Amino acid sequence: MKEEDVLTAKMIESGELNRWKELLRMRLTECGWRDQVKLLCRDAIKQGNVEEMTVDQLNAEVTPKARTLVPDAVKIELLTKIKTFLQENTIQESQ
Amino acid sequence: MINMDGLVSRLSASVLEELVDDAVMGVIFDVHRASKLGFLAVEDGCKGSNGETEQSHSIVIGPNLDVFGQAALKNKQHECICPSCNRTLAASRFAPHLEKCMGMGRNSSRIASRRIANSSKEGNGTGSNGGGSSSAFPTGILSDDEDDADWTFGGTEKKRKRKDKHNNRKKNSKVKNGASASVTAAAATVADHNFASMEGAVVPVEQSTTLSNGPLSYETLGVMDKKSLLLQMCGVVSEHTGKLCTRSLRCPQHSDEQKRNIRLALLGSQYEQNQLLGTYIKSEPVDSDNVGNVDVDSYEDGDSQAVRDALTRGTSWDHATEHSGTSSPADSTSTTSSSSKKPITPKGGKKGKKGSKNSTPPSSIAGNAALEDLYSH
Repeated sequence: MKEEDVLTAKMIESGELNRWKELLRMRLTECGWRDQVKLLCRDAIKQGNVEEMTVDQLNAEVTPKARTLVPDAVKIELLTKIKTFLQENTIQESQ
Repeated sequence: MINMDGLVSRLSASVLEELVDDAVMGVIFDVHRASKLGFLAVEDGCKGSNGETEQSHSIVIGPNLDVFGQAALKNKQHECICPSCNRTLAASRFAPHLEKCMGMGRNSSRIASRRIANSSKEGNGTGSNGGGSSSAFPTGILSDDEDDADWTFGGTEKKRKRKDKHNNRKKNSKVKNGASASVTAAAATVADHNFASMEGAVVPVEQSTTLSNGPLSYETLGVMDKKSLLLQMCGVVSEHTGKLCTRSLRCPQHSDEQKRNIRLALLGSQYEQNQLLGTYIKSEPVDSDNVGNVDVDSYEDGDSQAVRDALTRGTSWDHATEHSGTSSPADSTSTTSSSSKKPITPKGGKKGKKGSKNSTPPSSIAGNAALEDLYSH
C-alpha cells in the first residue's frame, strides 16, 4: 500500500498524471466516445425528472456504461504508458 | 519481482479507471449544466411544428444559391457607418467620403482652404458669423456633397451650376496671363452695365470680381484695366508689401497726394486730363464705349494745369464715392452731374463737403474757380 501511495505521489508530482489525463480526453473525443456518453446523459435526463436530476444521479447511471464504451485501442495505449512509468519507478526504488 | 508485475498491472488498471472516470465526469458536468440552463435541447436543432426536422432551416446546396437558399444579390452593397460623422454610406462611396470627412486626403486640404477663403470673404461682407466656416460639421457635409461631383461622372445639374459659378471666379483668378482675365471680366461687367445706371451695386460687384482674384499688381494690368481699377480703388502701392491698396477712393490710409502720384506715375498726364475733362464737360451719360475717356476734342491747352491741380487734389475722387448714387457713370469720378445742372452749388457743395470730410489744400479752391471757367466754355 505504501508503495502505491509513493508511486501515485510520484505520478502527480512529476505531472505525468495530468499528461495522461489530457491524452485520454483527446483520444476519447477523437473516437466519438464523448458524444456517445453525452447522448447517454441526455437520455438519462429525459427518463428521469428533469428538475431534480443531480450530477450524482447522472454519474451513478452513466458511468458504468461509459466505461464499457471506451474503445480498446485507447485503453491499451494508456495502459502501456502507465505500466512503463510504474515499472521505471518501481525498478528505481527497488534498486 | 512477480509481485511487482501484479502490482504494476493492478496499479495501472486503477489509474486508468480513475482517468476514465474523470473524463466521464467532465461530460456529465457539461450536460448537466446545459440541461439546467435550458439549452440542452437546442444542441439537437429545432424541429418544425409539423414534425419534420429542420426543413425550413436546412442547408441548401444548389447552383447560384447560398446556404440559406437565397440567390446572390448583385446590386445590394454593404452599408458602412462613418466613424467620424456617423452617416451610413454605401461601400463604394465610403472611401472618398472618408478622405474628405477626416481631412487626410490630397484634395481635402485644398477644399478646406478654399472654403475658408470663400467664407472669410463673405463673412467680411456680411459681418455675421453665419457665413463663416466656423461650424465644422455642416460645412463638412456640404463640401463633401459638393465634391462628390468630382467623383461621379455626371453629377447633378444643381451641383454643376454651383460649381461652374464657383469655378468661373476661381478660374479667372488662376489664369496666369496676368489677371487680365479677371480684370477683363471686371471690365466686361462694367461694360455690360453700360455705365448707364450708376447703381451702388455696380461698384461693389466690380470690386468683388476684381478683388476675388487675389493680389493685383500694376504690371499685370493693361491700360484699360488700370483705369477702371483706379476709378474704383485707392490704388496706392504700399511700401511694405508692394501691393496696391484696394480700399475705396476715400481710403484714409493714403493721402490724396499719394493717390495723385500713383495715377500720374501709372497712367500719364494725358489720361488724367482726358478722364477729368470727359467727366466735367459731358453733361449726358457716357456711352459704354467711352469708359471714363470722354471727348478729347474739347480739351484746351491752357487749362491743363489748372484742371489737373483742381481735380487731382482728391476732390473728384472724393465726390466719386460720395456720388455713388448719381445717375451717370461718368459722375463716379467727379461732380459732373451736379456741376452741369447746378453751376453754383458745386463750389459750395464741394467746399462744404471738403471741409467736413477732408482737409484739402487751399489751392483747390482756386482750382474750383478754374474749373468753373473751364465749364463755362
